[in-house]
Amino acid sequence: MKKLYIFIGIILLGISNPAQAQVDEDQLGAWYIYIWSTQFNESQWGVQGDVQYRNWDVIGDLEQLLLRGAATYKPKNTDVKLALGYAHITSGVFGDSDDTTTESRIYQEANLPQKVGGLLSFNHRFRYEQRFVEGQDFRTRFRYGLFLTIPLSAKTVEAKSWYLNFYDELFINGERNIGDGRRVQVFDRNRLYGALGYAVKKNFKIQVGAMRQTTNSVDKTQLQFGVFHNF
Amino acid sequence: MSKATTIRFYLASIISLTAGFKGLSQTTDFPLGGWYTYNWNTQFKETPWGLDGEVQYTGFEVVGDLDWLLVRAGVTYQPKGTNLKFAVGYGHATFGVFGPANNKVTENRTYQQLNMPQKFGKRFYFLHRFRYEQRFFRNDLYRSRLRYGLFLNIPLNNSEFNAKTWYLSLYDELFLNGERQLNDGRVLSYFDQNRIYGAVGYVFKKGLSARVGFMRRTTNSADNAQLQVSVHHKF
Repeated sequence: MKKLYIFIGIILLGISNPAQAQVDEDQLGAWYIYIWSTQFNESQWGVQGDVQYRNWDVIGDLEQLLLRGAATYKPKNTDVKLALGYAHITSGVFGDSDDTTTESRIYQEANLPQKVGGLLSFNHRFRYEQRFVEGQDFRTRFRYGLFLTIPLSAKTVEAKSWYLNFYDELFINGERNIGDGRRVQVFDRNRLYGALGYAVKKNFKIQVGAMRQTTNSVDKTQLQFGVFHNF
Repeated sequence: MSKATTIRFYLASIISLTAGFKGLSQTTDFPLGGWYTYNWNTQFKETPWGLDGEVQYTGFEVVGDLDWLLVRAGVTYQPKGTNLKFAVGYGHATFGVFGPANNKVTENRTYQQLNMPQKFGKRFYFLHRFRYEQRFFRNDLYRSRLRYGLFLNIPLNNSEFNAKTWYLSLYDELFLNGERQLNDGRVLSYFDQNRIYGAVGYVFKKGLSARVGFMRRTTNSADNAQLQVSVHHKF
């Protein structure tokens, strides 16, 4: 009988707050990430994308599978890079369940890179997302991320050199009513990240680090393994 | 653009901005508010050090019905070989309440700040400003706040802010609460407020300019628009 109540409780929680309520904050997760980009010769245009396999645990308990691709444009005489893209996300729930929900989104992005003092490379990234999430009304989200790269063994990140990479990214909800009377806060989440990186070649880098994600209800840490490929 | 059409363009911009913000302000119970700022900064010759500060008077109405009066000043430091600017400072604020009541709340605050200016193309002058505030109210009420603002100034009839330059000034600033559990029992959400702003500015001489514009301020419970007039002075 007690089990039945817990079961019903979990279902009710699940309905009101699909991927959050039952999360074990102390469970170390892992995100495996491949990020690529390419620039068309002698044009301002390029393409970029990423594949992210995110796990609630170190591997196996799917949190999200994210596929993203975008066209990029660099206005002349600036370092600014603009992007327009699409992403598809499959989200799983924490624990044994294999249930998934899907999301399609389009997004616009602006990258504003900035060098400081010869050694520090910052990038300010702004993103605006239009999200079509299964079982929810249309949502939008604003994101601002500040990324910092610091070379360690050379003056820049070049072949066979080590570097540090940090970022903090803030997510803000546009729509607050997401359907069926559900209401979200303006603050969606924050991500704080630190990693050690190694450049195998100038255009092929590996990063190993950890990221802490804070939402209104959950504060969770995951390992992050990233491969960055520019061709 | 000839001079006359240029001026007409600015006037049209101001009017459409006004109309836009008026439309927004009608969705709330607040009337159009007023916001007046004097902003100054100075750099000590041949050193990385300087000072900056401001006096800010805001009203729930265009003039009168005090919203707050803020006086703030800080010491600034620019590390060599960079255009970063750090600041530490202190501010004192007096808050009024909406309507005829005369109740006041005062605040002492300390803050740390980082400015990252960034220029793109010939005319896009961005500034990223990060600020962390420690806010002390009476009765031991303590709060802290993180702020990130993205500011963009675009000179119109020049590529720099020389004398007699008209410019557009836009910004958005987001405020997040540090402490969420206050010792008066209140529980806050991370989101404190957002400010979005648009204005037309004019440079009288290098280092002295004025702006007239509108700001929309959004909190969890309110959404109001304010007329903003500010003077910016570098000496």
